[in-house]
Amino acid sequence: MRKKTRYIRFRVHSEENIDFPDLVNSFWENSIDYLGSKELSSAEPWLIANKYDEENQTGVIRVNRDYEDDIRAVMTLIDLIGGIKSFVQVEKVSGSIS
Amino acid sequence: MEKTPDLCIQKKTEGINQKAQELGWKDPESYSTYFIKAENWGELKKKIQRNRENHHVLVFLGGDEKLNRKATSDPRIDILLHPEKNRKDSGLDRTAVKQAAENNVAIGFDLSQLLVSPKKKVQILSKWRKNLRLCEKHDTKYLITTTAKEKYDLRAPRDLKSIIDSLDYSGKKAIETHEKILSENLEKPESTSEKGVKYI
Repeated sequence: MRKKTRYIRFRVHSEENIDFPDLVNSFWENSIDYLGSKELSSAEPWLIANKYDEENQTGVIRVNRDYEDDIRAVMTLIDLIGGIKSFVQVEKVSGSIS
Repeated sequence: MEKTPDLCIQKKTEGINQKAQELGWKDPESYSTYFIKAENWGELKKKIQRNRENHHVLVFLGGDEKLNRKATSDPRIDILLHPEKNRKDSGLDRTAVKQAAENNVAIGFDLSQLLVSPKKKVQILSKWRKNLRLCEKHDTKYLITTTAKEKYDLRAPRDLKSIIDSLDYSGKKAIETHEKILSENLEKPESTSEKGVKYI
């Protein structure tokens, strides 16, 4: 059966613009730290590279529907990206990608 | 979600106030919060007496087991923040949490406590779980806050809610408690107010 997914649109707030590779590193570090590899293998989060807008600092993460709150929690716990004090705000969650 | 205040913002600068409103919080300037640090019960009592009249919300910065218990026994205190800070245990027991429910003192979970090393984070989360379980069992109010000192310490209410949700407790309750405390304190007429809150 096809897995149900959620697409989480987010915005990064920081002093300077954040590069996508730094964001990916920070996201995975925090995810493994908070959820652990076992839970993450079920959550299957994925930062969609071509949806990241470096100018507006917005992007999209795809995640298994049952782990939406856990991934939101992970994003809330991000406080440093590439050494720059930042935080991530979830703007919208939907069942399809636009 | 309706706009709610974050009662434990520690520094209210123009930058923080603007960002907080942008994220969906109420204007932090519309209420005043006093944070109490105390080493002993005498000092705590004095600070409560001195500041209760002049602030909408009184927050006690917890950590000491005896003072945590004293704070939960005083109805003039609104929030006992991070009772687990710098402790090996969760800082609360059944008696303290029951007392907090009777005296309408909310237990505060501080996000900044989680922004530490992975090992420490695991310990803090386990203490949070214990305190959340006690709060639910004894119907004690609880809330989650950032205790922001600068604008990048802030988080949106819905994002803070997700931390409590991910621990399998009610994030909605943890966010709504902020508004509940403030409106309870604002509604009480000055003359009959147990907490003696003044309008500012």
